[in-house]
Amino acid sequence: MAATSDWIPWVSRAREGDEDAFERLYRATRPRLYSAIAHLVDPDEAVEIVQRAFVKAWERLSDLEEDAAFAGWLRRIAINLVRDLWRGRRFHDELPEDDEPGALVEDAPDPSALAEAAQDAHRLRTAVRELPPTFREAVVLHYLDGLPVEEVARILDVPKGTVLSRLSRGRGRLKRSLTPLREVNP
Amino acid sequence: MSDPSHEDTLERALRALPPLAGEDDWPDLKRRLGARRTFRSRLRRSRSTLRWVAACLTVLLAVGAWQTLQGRRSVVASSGLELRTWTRAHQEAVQHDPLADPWAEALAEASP
Repeated sequence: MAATSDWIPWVSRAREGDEDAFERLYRATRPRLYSAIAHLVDPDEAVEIVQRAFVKAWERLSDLEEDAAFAGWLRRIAINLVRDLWRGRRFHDELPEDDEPGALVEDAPDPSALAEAAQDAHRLRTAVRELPPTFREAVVLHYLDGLPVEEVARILDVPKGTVLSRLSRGRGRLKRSLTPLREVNP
Repeated sequence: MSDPSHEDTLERALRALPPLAGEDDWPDLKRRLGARRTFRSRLRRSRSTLRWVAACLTVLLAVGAWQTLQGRRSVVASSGLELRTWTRAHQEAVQHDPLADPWAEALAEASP
């Protein structure tokens, strides 16, 4: 969303049916929303999901109780649309069994290799896109979108601890996919 | 996970990823909102007509149900009347001629 919260006054005006205010709201909040969604699905799908999220937001704006909550509320609408898309593909709930956090301790990657790989934005984005969907949601919303864990938990409708766990496991997966594993001495 | 420097590197890199920029398409969104509004306003405009149609259908259904019920009642009544008429005629016939009753006739023939 916008770096500042300048868009907040437009929410109430848009709720009254002011299309110009909604356009301002759209232009202010769309870029960050698009960036987050484009890390979850293909760019073309992200365009469509963002547009549909704004249509839903326009229609349900009267349900929004707090103007300042618009950004998070819009995120939730968009995430639900993304989940609908994933559900259609039937892979949303697939979680590999080997994603126990403890398993990552021994599989520590080479720090210099990780640092090098992480600098490669394309490689990093690809690794994020290859994360299982539940990890990807948490990683994208927290690290790429910059939302605090509490806000991510609200948007994903899960406890804070679940978000922290998904972030931890997501990071572990990213490390493993970005770098070759260092040999562990017995 | 055990070495915080790894985590910092990865987290920093993730946070530093430049955002993905997509095309701003307000005209498309405006068109979509307009289409929704058109549909809604059309629905709102035709709401009174729909209400009338629903009321008429309800009345028609009620009349139909009432008529069906009445029809059943008249069938029952007419069959009741038919039975009463037949019984009365039979009783009168038996009064005048006891053997008019086929049962009585059969009994009379069977008795010695």
